[in-house]
Amino acid sequence: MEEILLETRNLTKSFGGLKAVNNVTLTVGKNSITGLIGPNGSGKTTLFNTITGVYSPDHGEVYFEGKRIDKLSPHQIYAKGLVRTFQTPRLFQKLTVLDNMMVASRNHVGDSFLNVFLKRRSWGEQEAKLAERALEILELLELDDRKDTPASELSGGQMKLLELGRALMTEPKMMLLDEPAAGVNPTLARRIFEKIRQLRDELSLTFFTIEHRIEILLEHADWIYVMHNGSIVAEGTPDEVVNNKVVVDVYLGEA
Amino acid sequence: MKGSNLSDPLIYVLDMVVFVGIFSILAISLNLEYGFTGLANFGKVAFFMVGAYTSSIAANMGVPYFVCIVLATTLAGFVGLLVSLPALKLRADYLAIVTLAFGEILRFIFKNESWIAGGVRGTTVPSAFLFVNLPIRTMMTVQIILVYSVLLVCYIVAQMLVNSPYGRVMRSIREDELAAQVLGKDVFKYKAQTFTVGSAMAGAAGSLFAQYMRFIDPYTFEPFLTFTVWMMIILGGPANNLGVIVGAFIVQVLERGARIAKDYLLLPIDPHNLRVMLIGILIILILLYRPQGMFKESKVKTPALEVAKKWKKSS
Repeated sequence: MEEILLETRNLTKSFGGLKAVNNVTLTVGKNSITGLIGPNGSGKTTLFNTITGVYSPDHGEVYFEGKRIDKLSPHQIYAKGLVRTFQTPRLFQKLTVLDNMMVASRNHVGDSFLNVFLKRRSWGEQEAKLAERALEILELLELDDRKDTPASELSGGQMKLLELGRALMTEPKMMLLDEPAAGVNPTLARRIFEKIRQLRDELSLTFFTIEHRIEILLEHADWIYVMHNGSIVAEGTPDEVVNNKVVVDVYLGEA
Repeated sequence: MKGSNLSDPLIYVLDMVVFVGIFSILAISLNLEYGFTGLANFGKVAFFMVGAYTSSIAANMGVPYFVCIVLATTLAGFVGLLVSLPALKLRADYLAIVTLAFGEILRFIFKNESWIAGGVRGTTVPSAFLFVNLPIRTMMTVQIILVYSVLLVCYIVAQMLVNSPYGRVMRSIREDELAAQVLGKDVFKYKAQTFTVGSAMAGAAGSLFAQYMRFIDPYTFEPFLTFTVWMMIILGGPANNLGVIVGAFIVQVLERGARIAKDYLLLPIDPHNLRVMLIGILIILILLYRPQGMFKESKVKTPALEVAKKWKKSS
């Protein structure tokens, strides 16, 4: 594989006696779409939470662009250009769709207390530019006609899209997506992945994606990790993974 | 002096106006904390108390009133910051308990340590306008101008703050703290700043209160005062600065109105008890039929709104 963007080494996170993430070592190549699959409860979301600083790991390290990030808090990890979405969208329910997007702006002058009063001119101009950008992303996701709606009034699929849009608004280098196509109809699910691919190609973003809709993921992913009981049990290109006996056992054996 | 205190009904009205003003400042400050940022501060009275006592002690040492109010505001803000540092690490419900306890601790300190400001006997506060001998109506009008100037400043500061990217982040923290963090917001910093500003405003209100009452003692600062401010927020509508001022008006009119009623009307029930019942019923009705309060949450008014408006027209 080419240049490595994200790397975990021997990452472990336990809750009581349960090792939710057990000695996970993996790499995500720059500009790739890397998938993470595995049965329910195999530790995929915990792995994401540990990488993004929501949990601190018991053992092991996380590197992003070669620098250790496992001791950082979520907002510091964001500052490095790593952003994530949640399995159940965590939107700002009472805020409008546009405000949800605007919160995610990176390096906004008006985000700082004193600047609100001292640099009104400068944040005002920036605000207008950011709003344009937010609306363009919303248009891309076909959400722009709902810009003034409170996020709580969106449909489930639109919520997923808005969360994706919000993550894009942060101008990330890499996005961790936790089931971007869950609870979304098949057409929209395909479209979400087409968008992801388009973003990868156009903005050279990197994606690390948990997804249960394996058939869609197989179409788009470059590399797939398979997780079971907290450990990585297999990895490879989509073709390799599909034909891997361990993977078939993990999925079919339990189903 | 023209007209004595009790025989002039206008005095009651002016008194009510002063109280509406002082409590509007408190309501705005709690609105920043709870309404916008979701911080359940149940110790509002503590910072009001810090402001009132600071102002009184300073005034008794001969400090001019303008300096007193600045001192009160600064010290209350600073105490707010100190309390917020450990308290904001806690979950919302624990924050409520810690702030409630802080108010009580402070009250007991002022009560028992009589060297600070007279303990249970309280302390008188010299008037800022003692140098002129004004009739009582004029005196109160001057107080009103003073209170409402400070209220105006607080209102403008609060409005500028909430109608900015900063204010949007405040609301996002209220809605989902973790999501705000993941989107790069240093949530703790925002909370501590909001708490400091809220406490500073409460300190200013305390200073105005002490100056107006000309006497304070620890019994003035019972936790009930905090709950009064909460009622204003719940009635008026959280996250709407105009709404909470209306809330402050209603609660204070009922509160002060009860005093007038007690002196002027003969009712089969003590008006004070009637007032408590009325406010109780009002809050239940609001929570049942209009949980968002009388006023809806205000929008985040920034240049982004105009850009969005134009977007609709072009497409």
